[in-house]
Amino acid sequence: MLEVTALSKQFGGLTALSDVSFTIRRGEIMSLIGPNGAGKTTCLNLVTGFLRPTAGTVRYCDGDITRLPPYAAAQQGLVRTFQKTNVLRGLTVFGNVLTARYRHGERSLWRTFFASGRQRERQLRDEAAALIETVGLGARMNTDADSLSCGELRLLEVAVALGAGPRLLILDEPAAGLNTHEAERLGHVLKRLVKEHVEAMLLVEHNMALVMAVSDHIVVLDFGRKIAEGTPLEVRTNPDVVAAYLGRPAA
Amino acid sequence: MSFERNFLLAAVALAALTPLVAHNEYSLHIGIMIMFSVMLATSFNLIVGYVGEFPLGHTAFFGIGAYSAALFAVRLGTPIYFTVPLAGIVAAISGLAIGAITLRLRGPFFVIVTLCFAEVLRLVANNWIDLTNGPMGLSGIAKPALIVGATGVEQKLWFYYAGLALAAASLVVCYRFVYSNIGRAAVAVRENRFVAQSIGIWPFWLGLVTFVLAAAISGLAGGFYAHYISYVGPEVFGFSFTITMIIMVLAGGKGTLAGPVVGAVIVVFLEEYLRDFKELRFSIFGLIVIAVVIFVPRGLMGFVGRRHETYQRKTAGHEGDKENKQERLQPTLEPAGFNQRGAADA
Repeated sequence: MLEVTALSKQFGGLTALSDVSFTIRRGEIMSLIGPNGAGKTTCLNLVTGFLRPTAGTVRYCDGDITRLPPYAAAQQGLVRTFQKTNVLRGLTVFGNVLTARYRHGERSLWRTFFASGRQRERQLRDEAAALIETVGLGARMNTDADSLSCGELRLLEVAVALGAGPRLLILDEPAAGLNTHEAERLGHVLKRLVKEHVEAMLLVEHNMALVMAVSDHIVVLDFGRKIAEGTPLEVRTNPDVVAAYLGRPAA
Repeated sequence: MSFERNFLLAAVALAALTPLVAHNEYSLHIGIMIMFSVMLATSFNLIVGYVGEFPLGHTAFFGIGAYSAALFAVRLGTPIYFTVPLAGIVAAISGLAIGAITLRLRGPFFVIVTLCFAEVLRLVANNWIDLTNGPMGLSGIAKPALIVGATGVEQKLWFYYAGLALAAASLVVCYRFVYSNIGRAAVAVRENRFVAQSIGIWPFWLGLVTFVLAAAISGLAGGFYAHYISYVGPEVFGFSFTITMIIMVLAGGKGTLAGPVVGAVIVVFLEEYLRDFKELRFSIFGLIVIAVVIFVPRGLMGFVGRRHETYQRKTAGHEGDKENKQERLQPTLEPAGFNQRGAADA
């Protein structure tokens, strides 16, 4: 579904990412892990068009999206969240998700001004509400996004991303700042999403319990390079991965 | 949403009935200035409140509208029924051109470049004497044939209702825009550009749509102004019109539709009542503005500014399948059976 080939990014003399390739297949959750500064977020920014790669290609559903601007990628169903919690803070939970349904609402200027879009609008509102229920924020439907807890904000972020109708959902550290219980709850939501709402998911995450619990497939980055790839079990026992996280034993 | 709609409907109804009690030239003149100001403030507010940028040169579109109407009327003898819509169209086209350039910029850069456009247009109006008559301006812009020869009050009455119709039409268009799917997306861009892009919104496109709409409304106001005052000079591109727009929008409440209307009414009345203070007038005006900014920073109608979208749940059984309903019954923080399922998944 997503095919990243030999992706590289240099910021001036600094190589943030070099020659990284991976594939995400339909129906799977792939996780991208690695120590701080390994290039995970850079990789996401390249895939979603927020940054332009120095070299390499990104293919999505048989089309080349390497140089597509972020909104165009999103319109094709490649939707991401951000590491620093990003929602529309001045709006309610419902308002956030309703706004995120933009792509499914009335986008023609002519009809916006001259036609009654009441029925479509009502449908949009119901869909938004259903998505909020899906991530388990139903009780907070009409609460201002400002007054949510950290864990609820993360869930709202997922709901906003879902609102845009993603085929491939990309989550950047959705469990950052969550306690064990909240992270478990999030993992549960994510697994259900892949079954019911999105075709595949790419996860960047530091919470290993969550990563090991939900991933079908893990890619490990270190200093901008791919050092390992495989199932959770394979990755966990890979000596290079252990070394990247914990350092090598003194010789 | 319904508060704003009811408020605006009430305001239009009130305005339509006012001439019954205020049937003299002076009151009607104030009324006409209010209508004209409402349009300018509404237009300015679209950009401040829904694009989130600060167009210090917004008077450019007002001036373009005023000059187009004046030129069509004076040079070609076009009647007012065509010049005013044409003023709006010409302003919208300029809005498209200027917006396409300036909306690539943000923050202070946007402010300065829009200001430059207004200044350039002022210089053109001053110096392209063949077209604009230079500093002398264009005078003798015809009043509509219908009211030629009518009494002063009747003429004013005509302009009052024409202004009311234009202002109401502008508000209807803005209302439809702001409370639409596209309007919501515009708010998303203002609130957070990155989130907006990640959900498939193209910020530049939405900015441009809003910008053109605002320019068109300003242009209509300009055309109306040209015919009412029957004179247009380079000062329509001056900074003072922009300042008036800023004060009206800030005092009323940016990012609301009711705010600029309230702001326009207050500012026009203040300007009139403060005439008694002669030279002190502008100082007192300034102090009032400072007080508003300090004590009601979100404007007098700021309380409606916050978009509070709510969703009323339908009665059970009306929507969704059984599975969905089951989930809804689970308490949010402790999904029942979570642990068992979570453990099974791991």
